Amino acid sequence: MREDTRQNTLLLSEQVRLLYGGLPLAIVMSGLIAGLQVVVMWPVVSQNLNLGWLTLMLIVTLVRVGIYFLNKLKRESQTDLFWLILFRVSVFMVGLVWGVAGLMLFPTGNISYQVFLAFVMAGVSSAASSSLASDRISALGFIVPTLIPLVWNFSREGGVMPLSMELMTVFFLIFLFAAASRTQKNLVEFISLRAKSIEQEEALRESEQHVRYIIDTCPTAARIAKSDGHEVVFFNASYVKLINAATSEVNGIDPATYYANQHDYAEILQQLGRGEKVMERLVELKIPHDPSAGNKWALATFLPTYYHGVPAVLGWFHDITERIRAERIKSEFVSTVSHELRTPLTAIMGALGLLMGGVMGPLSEQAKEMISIAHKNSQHLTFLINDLLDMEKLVAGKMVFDMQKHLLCKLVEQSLEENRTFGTGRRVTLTFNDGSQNAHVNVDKQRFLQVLSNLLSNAIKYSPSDGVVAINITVSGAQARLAVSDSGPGIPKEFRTRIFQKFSQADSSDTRQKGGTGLGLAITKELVNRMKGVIGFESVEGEGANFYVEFPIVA
Amino acid sequence: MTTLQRILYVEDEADIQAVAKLALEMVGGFTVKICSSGEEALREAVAFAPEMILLDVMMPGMDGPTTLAALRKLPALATIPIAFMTAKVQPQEVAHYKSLGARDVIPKPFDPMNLAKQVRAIWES
Repeated sequence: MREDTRQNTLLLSEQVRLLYGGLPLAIVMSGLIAGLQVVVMWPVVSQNLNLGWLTLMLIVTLVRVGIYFLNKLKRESQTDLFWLILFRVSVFMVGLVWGVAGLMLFPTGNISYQVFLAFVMAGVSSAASSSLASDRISALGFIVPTLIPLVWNFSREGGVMPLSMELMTVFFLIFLFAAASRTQKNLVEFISLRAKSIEQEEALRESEQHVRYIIDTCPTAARIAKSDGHEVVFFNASYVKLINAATSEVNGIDPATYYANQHDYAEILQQLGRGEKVMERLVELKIPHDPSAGNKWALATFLPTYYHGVPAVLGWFHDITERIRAERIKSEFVSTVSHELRTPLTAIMGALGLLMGGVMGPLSEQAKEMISIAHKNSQHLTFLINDLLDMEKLVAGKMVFDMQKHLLCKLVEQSLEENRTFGTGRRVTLTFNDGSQNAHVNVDKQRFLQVLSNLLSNAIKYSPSDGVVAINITVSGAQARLAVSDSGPGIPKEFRTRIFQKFSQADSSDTRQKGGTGLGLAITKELVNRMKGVIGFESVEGEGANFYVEFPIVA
Repeated sequence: MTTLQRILYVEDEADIQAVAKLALEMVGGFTVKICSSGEEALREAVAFAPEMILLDVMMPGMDGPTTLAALRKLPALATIPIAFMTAKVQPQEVAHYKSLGARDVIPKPFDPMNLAKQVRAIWES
């Protein structure tokens, strides 16, 4: 409906424009023809009638001139409908005046002059049909009053010639009416198409402005460079900011200038040359004209495209400089903290170890006990630092896994050996039921042993004296399951949902008592997941716990 | 095969120097010379004629890897076994230190009662 209203408005505006645009010529021609008619008809029509009619034509012409200038100067002061109706009225008045000519200036009995008059009427009607084609009502409002009196007069004459003239005039009127209708229809179609075209152009312009606004305000830097990669032809404000340039300097620059590693950029161009997209590649950018800015990093996506018909490359750059710098600072901090914490711990544990080992001579029982406490706690600190650093590496995705195929039962046997002394010290027996059928798994050996060690040490710590920790391997389909079961107190119900979270022990004092750091299971879960395994547990409070890990068997 | 006797230990931290010296001399029975920096090691190493060198990694001035490279340029020390002692003992870090020419890496904190055994095992490997 909205589109129809808009089209009608456009049609009306176009009609008014065409009608008033043709008015000056119509007034001039009408005046000339009227004058010529009066001159020709002067001998056969009363002078008073001729002059009277000419005066009438003059008055109407002046009215039309007045309307023309009114429209020209004050168009915006009225609606298009007002101007159209005003025009129609003026045209009807002119038609009436011509009709008066056909009525009052008709030379009775003089067929030659009658034909001349008919010729003039037909001529002005035909001209009107053409110039008023944009408004059928205006055309009819002129043609009908112009020709009908003539038809009437011919019908009163009698005779073959007048009758023929009468019929021809009628046919001519019908023809002009049909022609006016068809012309208006064509005009309406043309105007509709033009309206649609204007609408589409406006929509396209609006869409372009909208897209341009989005690109200009997009925080991600964007630029288009010619396909050889050496001339920027389009860019947004964020790109200007990324390369620390002035807007006026960017067009035409060679983007290769900004790559810290030219080999990287060459690779990117090669990939694009093969018709491939380059998605989210980390690039390092240098700022040659502003070294104080330091290098920048961005996740760049490059897409082949066209720009004004020329092959080009669209580059999107997500600036992650701050993130990279923060990661480096954090990494350096972690490395520094690690060294700064471990250095005094080395001295502490070294000194205590020498004392405990009797290198400094015999100690009293009390002294031995105190030193043992100090040594145990400094060991705990060491484990805690190791666990914290492991967790940080896992979370940051920086832990490197050396995944290799290993015989599962061999790994378990090695872990049992490493932990047997710990078990013996707490009077806990370790048993192993090997149902692995010589299955192999794809794991990082050191990290897998770390997982097993954590599960075994937990099971031993929570087992009662003279208890048993059972290790079982079972195979089911393509999965190998390794389970570690103890006969300790089991997992409290309120703890089960957060058992694998960091520092989520049910009771931190219990953690310290058992010698844990609170990170063991969190790290174990991360390690298992990174090695594409699954970890879980089953437990009934008061009846021990069964922790298991599952890995796909590899051929 | 002769037994290991003379060890050069390069470490900037005085407390760790004291612990390690006791652990190596009193537990291991070695003759130990301590140097507090890579520069001092370069000055003293040839005269001391060690059979094994233990190098801390993170030291001010010449760090462990730089000191190793410099020591290797001295003809008398070109083939002496060298081990790093460091807190950075991830597998890839160990592989990196070995690629620099170290025979092995002893992690810190170390067990002073076990240090001599570890060093002897590296020397004999």
